[in-house]
Amino acid sequence: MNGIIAIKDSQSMPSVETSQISQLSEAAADHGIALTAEQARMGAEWRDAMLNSANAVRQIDVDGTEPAAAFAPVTLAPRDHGG
Amino acid sequence: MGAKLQVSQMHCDLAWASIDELAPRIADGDLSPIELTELMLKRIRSVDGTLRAYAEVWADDARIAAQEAEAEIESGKHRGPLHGVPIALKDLVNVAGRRTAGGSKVLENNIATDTATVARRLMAAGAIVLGKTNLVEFAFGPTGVNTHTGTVANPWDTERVTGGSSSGSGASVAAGCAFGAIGSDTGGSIRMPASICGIAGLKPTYGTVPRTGVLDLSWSQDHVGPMTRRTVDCAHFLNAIAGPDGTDFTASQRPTIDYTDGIRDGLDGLKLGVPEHYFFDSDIVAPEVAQAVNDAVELMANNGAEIVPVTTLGFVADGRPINVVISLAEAAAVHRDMLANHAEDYTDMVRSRMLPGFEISAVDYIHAQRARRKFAHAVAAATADVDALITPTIPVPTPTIAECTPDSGSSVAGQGAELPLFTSIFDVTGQPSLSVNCGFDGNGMPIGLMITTAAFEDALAMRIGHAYEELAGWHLHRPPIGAH
Repeated sequence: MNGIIAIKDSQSMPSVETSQISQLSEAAADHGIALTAEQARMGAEWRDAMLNSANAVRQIDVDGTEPAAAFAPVTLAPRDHGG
Repeated sequence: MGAKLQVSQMHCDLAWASIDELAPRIADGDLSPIELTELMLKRIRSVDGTLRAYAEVWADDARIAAQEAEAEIESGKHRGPLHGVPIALKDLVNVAGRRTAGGSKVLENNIATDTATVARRLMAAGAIVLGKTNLVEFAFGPTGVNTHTGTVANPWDTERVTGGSSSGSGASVAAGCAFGAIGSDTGGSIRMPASICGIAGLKPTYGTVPRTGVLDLSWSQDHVGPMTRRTVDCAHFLNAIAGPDGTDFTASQRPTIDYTDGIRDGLDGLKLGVPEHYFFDSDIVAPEVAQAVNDAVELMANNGAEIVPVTTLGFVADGRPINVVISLAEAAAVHRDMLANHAEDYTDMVRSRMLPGFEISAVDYIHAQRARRKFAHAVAAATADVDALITPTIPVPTPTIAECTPDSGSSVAGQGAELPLFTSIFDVTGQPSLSVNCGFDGNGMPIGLMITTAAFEDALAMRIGHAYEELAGWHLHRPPIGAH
């Protein structure tokens, strides 16, 4: 249910802390994306909701799942796709 | 034109006719592709100033294509059900020499040098392309709001959203401004606007329709598919566009089939699963939505289907965060260079939603793909005893455009985030998933019924959708805009 919580959280107008803006700006800068202060602030409005989804996924036990699946473009039924 | 009926004298029903009804009449020379095209162009001129469904209308090219189709049919060569039928393409589908803007300012001068497989196949099937339809910027959003191009208005209530991202495709078909359109679906972008606009929309099994020449958003979850007035028309579309093209390495290599085979076989003997978890959770689903879907289930139960409660999907909500993480990471990868060079040209809403993707680590992305694999297999195992899952497409009534548009200085809107909670589950699994109209809410807005089958059972999903439409008849209702 964490995904739902994360998305619902995003609907209330988020208050954005300076540290969140900095972290988002730095992550973007690592990829060559220079943001204005306003762009970074608005991006940070989504940061918690989206990173909550990553946290939710981390809680899913993937033991026993073939590592190759992580790289397969088709995760559903590779043999049906001529792989 | 000889004995051909004059479209101008026909009942206005023709603009809302299904391809399945039109095709034999076109083949017989009873209907003229030229006049059908003129009818669509006239309707577009009449209502699209209000709707904004079309990004571009190619009236001259459409007329030429219609003349060629008519001449070919008159000479005895009928290519199939789409021959001479006017349709539209979402503006992320390339057509050589034409602009593909993806609903963005960034690509407003992007002239395609190739033609997408899906467009090429539709043209080869004889379809008349009327133009490109508007969408959410880069297909990255569920409501249809696009502050750059202007938000497409819903034909049922122009103050309300269409759903996204295939907003213009949904609105154009619903408003009788195309007989079908191509959409794409990464978190629900075919099925959400189909639901909200009251039409049929099929997200085919992942890999069934090649993505060659279609702008990427999240390539491991992007699905290309049809949006039409009736389910049977989705089958005609899929017949034209399915199958590997030798270029898209994610395309299924399975032999193509006739997706209309068995579509009229009804519901007898089918087991329809109704999940007890998530999809009918009263914390998520509005009562009038649940009621409409339950009514649909009852109607199908009374007409041959066996209804089976599905109690084994307690984990299914995990699909939503998996969809979000993969979408964000892949969208960040797709857009990195454009964001580096044109960040200011993105709308605040879409740029802001993309940026957190750069904080998703490689480890998290790989974990999400492994979780996805496990999730897809778990869903398949949990539903192995039923032929299809029956759920709402969207949990909530349709919000207004104002409710879904952020205030100045923010990128977050008040409503709309719930829209993809159900649809996105099946972008993760890659299963075929169809939305059809199952009634109207208290505001007169359509409600969608989602029919999801096992991988590569697209034809079965459409058989169920067609049978339901025949029983319920909701697809015969028309929006008020341009109805006369």
